[in-house]
Amino acid sequence: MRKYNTNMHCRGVSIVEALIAAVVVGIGFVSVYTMTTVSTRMIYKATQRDNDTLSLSMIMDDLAIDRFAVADSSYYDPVSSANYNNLDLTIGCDDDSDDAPIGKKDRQRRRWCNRLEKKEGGMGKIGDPNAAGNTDQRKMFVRNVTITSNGYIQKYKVIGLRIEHYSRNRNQKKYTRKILHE
Amino acid sequence: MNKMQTSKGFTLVEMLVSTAIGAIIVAALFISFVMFKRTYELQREMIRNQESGRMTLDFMVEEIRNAGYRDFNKGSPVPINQAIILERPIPNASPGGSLPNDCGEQISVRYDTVPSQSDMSSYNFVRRQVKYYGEQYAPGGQVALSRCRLKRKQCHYAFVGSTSTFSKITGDSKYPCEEETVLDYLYDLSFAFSDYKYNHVAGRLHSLGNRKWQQDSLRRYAGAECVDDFKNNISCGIYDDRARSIDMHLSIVSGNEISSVPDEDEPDGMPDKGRRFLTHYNSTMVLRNL
Repeated sequence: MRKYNTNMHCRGVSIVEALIAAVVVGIGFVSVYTMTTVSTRMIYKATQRDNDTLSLSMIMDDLAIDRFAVADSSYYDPVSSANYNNLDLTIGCDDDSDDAPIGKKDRQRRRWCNRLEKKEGGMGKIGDPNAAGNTDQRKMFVRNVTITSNGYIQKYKVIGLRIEHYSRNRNQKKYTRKILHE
Repeated sequence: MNKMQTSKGFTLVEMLVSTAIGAIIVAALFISFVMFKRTYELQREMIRNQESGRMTLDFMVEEIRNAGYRDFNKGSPVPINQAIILERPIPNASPGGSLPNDCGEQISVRYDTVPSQSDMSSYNFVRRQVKYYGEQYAPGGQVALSRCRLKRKQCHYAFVGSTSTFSKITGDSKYPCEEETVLDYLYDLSFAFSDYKYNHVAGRLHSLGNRKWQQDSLRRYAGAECVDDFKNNISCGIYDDRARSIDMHLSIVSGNEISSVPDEDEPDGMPDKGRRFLTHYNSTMVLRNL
């Protein structure tokens, strides 16, 4: 018959072993805490992205109807690459004069800038532009595209919007693009 | 075998150490439970707000975009006078908690619906009037639970050619006059009507920012008579400028207090939301039928 060393089997757990086990369990807890925090942040981000999408669709909607706008030569700025390319939507919010004789592009920029800057339902103000690593962008791009197909020349405008957040712990990029036929 | 050695039990020190470790683990579990519960409450309310807000927004945008649509069934289409109308918010009694100062601006839109094939002989066209408005609501009469809810009311009207007026269609289930609740825990509903130059036409938002147009007189709310003028096929003429776009702002307050949301003091004149948070949505509708 095999002889057991009873002392070896009944000596229990040492304090060091117990502490190590507690630390391991603690690490598990920390991991789960992190997961809950991350999931909350992800829901928050999803809401923010939803708001970003709505803001961008507002801009695209504004542009889409412009082609049917009233012919007001003193006001009208065509959506051309010369007018709208590289349009920075972080500047131009502060002009408080509604009666200023400015064209469509500047009025739109003021409207879009204010809309994007709005904290409630918008994207909020951009961070300190001088802060390190701050590259927040809210820009519009317009490209003129000409395609010749079966002898027909077709002209398009490709309008893009680029939104990048880095400054407010959101770290998200959003690109949207629309093609307007001429 | 040495029985004394195998059954000697735990020493006092071992018991104390194991009790301490056990207490730490139980404390960690308790704290975890509290944290998970808070996180669950927060996430549940966030998702509820997001779901109901997005659904309401899509629903309203889809309908408001229809404003001014005229149906061509037979004969000349009858113009839609004042296809969109904005009415003054109604102040709430005893605002506080989830109940804001008012339940938001009230918007009415009108557009034609296409009658079904069988009804085309009865109706040249059917004009629908829809009104979205917030109202104070105390479930079960409990004032402590007061909040705003968003209602949608629609009625259908037929054109009477002999008198050039509109009469409400009654007793026809296909064209009902009915009211429904769209959203509970509404906190704000605001609009901005603007023309093609983004000049402000009506509403307490402003399309070019929100710095000016804070005066009540510049919000240009319509009276009740304006809403009814269309029945006589006339326009009350409140908005001479042609509204080109409508901006909308929708806020929803969480239904329950969340212990992890700080109870921040609101600015003067604003009701205290307590430990509730708001979810905001903005949308723009370009009106293609006006």
